[in-house]
Amino acid sequence: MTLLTQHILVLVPLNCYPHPLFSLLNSPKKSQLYTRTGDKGESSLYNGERRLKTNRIFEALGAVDELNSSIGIAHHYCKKSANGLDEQLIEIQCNLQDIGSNIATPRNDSSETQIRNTAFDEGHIDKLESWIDHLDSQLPPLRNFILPSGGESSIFLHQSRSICRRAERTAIPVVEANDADETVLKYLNRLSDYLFAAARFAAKHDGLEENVYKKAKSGREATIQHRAL
Amino acid sequence: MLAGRPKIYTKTGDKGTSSLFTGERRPKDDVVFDALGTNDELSSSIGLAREYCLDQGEGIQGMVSQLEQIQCLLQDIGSNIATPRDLATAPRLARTEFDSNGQHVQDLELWIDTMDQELPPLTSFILPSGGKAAAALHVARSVSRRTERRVVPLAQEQRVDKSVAIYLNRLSDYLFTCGRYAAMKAGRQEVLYKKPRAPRIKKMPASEE
Repeated sequence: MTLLTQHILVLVPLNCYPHPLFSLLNSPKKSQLYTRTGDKGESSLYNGERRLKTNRIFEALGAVDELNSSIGIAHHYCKKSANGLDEQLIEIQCNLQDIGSNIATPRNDSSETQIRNTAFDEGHIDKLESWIDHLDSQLPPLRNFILPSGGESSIFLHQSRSICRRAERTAIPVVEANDADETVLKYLNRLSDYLFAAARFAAKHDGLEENVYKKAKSGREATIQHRAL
Repeated sequence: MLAGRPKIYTKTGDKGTSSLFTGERRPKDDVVFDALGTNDELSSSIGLAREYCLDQGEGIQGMVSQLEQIQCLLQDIGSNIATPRDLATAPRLARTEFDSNGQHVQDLELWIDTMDQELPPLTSFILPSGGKAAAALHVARSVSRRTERRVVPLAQEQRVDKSVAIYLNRLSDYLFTCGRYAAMKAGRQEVLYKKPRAPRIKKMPASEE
């Protein structure tokens, strides 16, 4: 694949299948999904550089991609229950695409134009905070640890939250090496708070109870309880 | 915003560090947070599996309450992981001790044995399948294995109680059995592994080959 197409591939959403460019590049007969260029365990960055797929940059990119997929499921259920979160979730998915471009463009090894085109703006974090404040103002205060529960929308949002934390962990070494913008870490950190508030909001909207943490009974009591079930 | 209400977001983690139960701050990519975060993912996927078990209802109501109890225990496991055994004070260690008498593991074993009695013997590999509840239980099982892999190195260095690693090991067996049991109660066939055939596709003769 040429350098030019790699540039455009990152700018056009990666999850857009079939990618509009593929039809330009290949003969129409063969599926254009597989390029076979990654068969030896390498993949390319936005700057054209090829690195091993085990490189921390691909680890972070992959986790952000997983996060995006899980938000996709959460979006499906939120839309179904009409809780009003769906548009925010889509904007977040677009932001995650931009975060992917930021991570895929190592600040240390890319051109100024590439860096400028993929900068991630601080303003997105302010927006998340305003969403969190708005959701939170409608929620009862937290008095207990809550368990991931409260219906499908809420649970998928909790699942996204926990995957978001993993994405943040994998992005840290990349940001620390100054290869991605600090705003990426800030956004991911705030996003897990948003997903937490959104999960609670979704449960409340669906009129479903959140289960709270209870200290487990000693094993013996639990066993007796189980036998009684 | 309500007055005097603490915000969910503290911003203290924006620079990539977080704090342990001991008050110590560490980078978020520290092995301890990796284990904690994976444990959290596990609780979320169990929450999802539990929801599908609730929907399925018939014959697996006991499993629903077991899964909720397990979620609470995972919270306790989180406290244990967040309190490094080699660094914390004695009172903190005591407060976050996990399953020192092995009872929680025995419960899992009892639950496994009870379900296993009703299940047909395993004669071949099964694929994650058997309806929504069963498939979600298989996802939880695989996340449980990942959590175990993150915890084992910490347990070996005695930074987390050994009982935590033992519990997670048994938990994946429990979730596997639950997956099969839920499929059976749903009257669903589990998909069995079959060796896929890979016929050689004749390629157009190419001059360079």
